Amino acid sequence: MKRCLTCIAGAVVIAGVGGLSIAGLGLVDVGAASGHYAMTEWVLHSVMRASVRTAAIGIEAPKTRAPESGMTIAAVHFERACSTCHGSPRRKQSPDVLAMLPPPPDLSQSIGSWSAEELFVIVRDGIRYTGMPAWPATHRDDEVWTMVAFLRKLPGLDPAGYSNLLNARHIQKGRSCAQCHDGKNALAPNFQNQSEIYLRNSLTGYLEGKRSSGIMQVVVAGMDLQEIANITGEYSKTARNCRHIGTASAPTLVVEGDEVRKIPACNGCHDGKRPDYPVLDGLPAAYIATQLALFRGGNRVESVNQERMAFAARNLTDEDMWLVSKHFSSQAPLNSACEE
Amino acid sequence: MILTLPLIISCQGEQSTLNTAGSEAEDIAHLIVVTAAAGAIVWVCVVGLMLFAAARRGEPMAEQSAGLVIAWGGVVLPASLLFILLAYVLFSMPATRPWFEKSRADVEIEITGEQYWWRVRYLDERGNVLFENANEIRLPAGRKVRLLLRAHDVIHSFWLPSLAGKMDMIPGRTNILWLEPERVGIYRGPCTEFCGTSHTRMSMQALVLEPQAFASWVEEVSSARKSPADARAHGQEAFLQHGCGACHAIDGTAARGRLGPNLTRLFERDRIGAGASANDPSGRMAFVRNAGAIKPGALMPAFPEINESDLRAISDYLGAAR
Repeated sequence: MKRCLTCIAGAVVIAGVGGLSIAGLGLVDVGAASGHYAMTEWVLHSVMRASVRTAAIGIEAPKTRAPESGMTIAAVHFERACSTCHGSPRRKQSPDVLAMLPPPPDLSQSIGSWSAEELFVIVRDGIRYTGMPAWPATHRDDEVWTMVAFLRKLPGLDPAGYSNLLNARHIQKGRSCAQCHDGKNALAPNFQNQSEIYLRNSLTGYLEGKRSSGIMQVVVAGMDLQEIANITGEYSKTARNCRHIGTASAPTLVVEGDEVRKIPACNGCHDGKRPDYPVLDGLPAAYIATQLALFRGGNRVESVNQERMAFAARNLTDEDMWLVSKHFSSQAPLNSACEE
Repeated sequence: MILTLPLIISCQGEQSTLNTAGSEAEDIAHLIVVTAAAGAIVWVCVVGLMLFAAARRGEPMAEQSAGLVIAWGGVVLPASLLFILLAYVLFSMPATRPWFEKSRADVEIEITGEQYWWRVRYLDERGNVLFENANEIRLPAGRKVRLLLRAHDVIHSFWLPSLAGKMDMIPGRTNILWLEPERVGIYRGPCTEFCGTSHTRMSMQALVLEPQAFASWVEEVSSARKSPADARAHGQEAFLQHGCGACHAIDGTAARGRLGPNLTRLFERDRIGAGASANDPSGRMAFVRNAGAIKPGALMPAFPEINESDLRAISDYLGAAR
C-alpha cells in the first residue's frame, strides 16, 4: 500500500517537472498556421457554444424600443469596428483575417445559428481565446441590443441595402458624423441645437472614457483635443443657435418638477440659457429616454453637471421618462424654431 | 446645579414659553405656574414633614396621632391636590387642544416640514393656495389662525413657544393647531423633533402683524404673484441661466421649480436656509456656492462653476426688494 502511494507521488512529480520542462523549453507550438487538431477544435467549439447558451439564460431582450431605430448607427459601427474581421455585404473577408485561429466567422452564414439573447452575450462579453472583443463600454446594454437587432438583419442585406444604411454619401462629402447624426436616427442626437461647449464636453468625455459608449468611444479613439475642437467648431458654424420655446401644454414635470418625489423641473436648466447644458427640444425621444435611464442608473457621471442630472433623474419612472422625452422631441421642430 | 437653572432658562426673548404673545401660549404659561406652585406646596410639605420627623429623634408617636398623620398627609392631602390639578388641567384643555373643531378660522396656513426647512402655503376660504412661502409665517394679531401641519419625509415637530404649544408633523397626516396671537412681534420656532443631520439648522420665524398690515401684505403678495415680474431685474438672468429655477420658484418669473423653498420675496426674510445663515450678501453667496457646507444633508448641490460676478448678481437679485 505504502509503496503504491510512493509510486503515484513519484509519477505526479515526474509528470509535473516534465510538463513544465516542455513548456519552459518552448516545445509547445502556438502558431496559428497549422490549426487545431480536430479533437481540440471540437472541444473548444462545443465548450464555447455551451458557455454562450448558459450565459444567455435569464437574459431578456428589452421590449420598449423598435429595433429599426438603431439600424444605421449599428451599421456604421459594424462597418467601422466589426467588418475588419467579419467582412460585410460590401466586402468579403480578406485572407489575412482568415489566417487567424480561429478564423472569424462570415456572419452572413453563422448569425442564424444563434438566438438574439446568445448574440447579446457574445457582443457584450466577447469570446476568450478567439480575438472577439467584449463591448468596450460597460452599462451600455442598450447599444449592444441595437447591434444585435442589426446583426439579425445582416444575412438578408445586399451590398446596396447595406450602403444605404451607412449613409455613405456623407463620407464622400467629408461629413462622416452626419452618417448617424443627420436627425433621422432615433438614437443619435442631431447637433443643430447644441452649443459648441456642450458638443466639445461630450466628445472629450468619450475620449477620456468618462462618458461611456461602445460606439462613440470608438469613433473618437485616436483623436486629440485639437481635433475635437476643430470638429465642434465646424459644427457650431452651421448650428442655428436655436433657443428654447416653451409651450403651455408642457407636462407639469417639465415646468415645475415634482415637490413630493423631489424632481427638479426640466425647463429650469434645459432652457438653452447655459451653454454647457444641452437643449432638449427636437432631440429624438428614444435618445433622451436612453440618456435618462443612464442617469437614473448612475451610469453617466462625467462631470458635476451629470451628477446633478443623476440626482434629477433618480426618482423618475419609465413612464415619466417617456412622457418627458416625447414632450421634448415634439417641441420646436428645428426649422420653425430656428427661423424665428 | 439647580441653583444655576434660573441663569440657563430663558424667561424672555423670541423663543420662550414664558414670554407669551398668544392666548394658547398664555394658557400654557398659566399651566406651568399653577403646576409649579402645586409642586412647591408638595415640596414644602414633604420637607416640613421630614424636618418634623428628624426633630423627634426617633421618639415614638401615639398610634392614633400617627394614623391621623398618615390619613391626612398620605391620602387626603395628595388626593385632593391631584384632583384639583386634574380638574384645572381638564378645564383649561379645550383652549389649547379643542375637543371639537372650532367653527371658523380667520386665517388658514398649511405648513409642511421637509428636511430641513418649512414649506408655507397661505390658503383662502375654500382651501385653495393663495401663495407659497418658506421658513417664515406672518400672522394677524387678535385673529384665530388654523395651522395644517404636515411632513414630507420624516417626523418634524412644530413649536412656536411664545404663541402656542408643540405639535408633531407626521408624514401622511395633517395635524391641526389653532392659535391666536395677541402681541405684535417676531417669534422663533425651531424644529423640535430630531429629523436628520441639519435638524439644529431648521427653524422658522413668525411675524405677528397688526390685522390691517397683515391684510395688505396678503393682498400685495397675492396680486404680485399673478403679474409677471420685471424680467430686466438685475441678476434675474443669472438666476435663470444657472438653473436655479429647476428647484426654486419665484412668482411671476420663469422659475417655477417646486422641489425646494419658494424664493419669492426672499428679501423679507430675516435669515436664509431656515435660519441657517444671515440674509446678507455673504450669507447668500456662501449658501449658493455650497449649501451642503452650511446645511449638511441638504438636497441643494454645490455650484463651484458659477463665477464670482454671477454669484453676486444672483445674491443681489434675491436680496433686492421687488
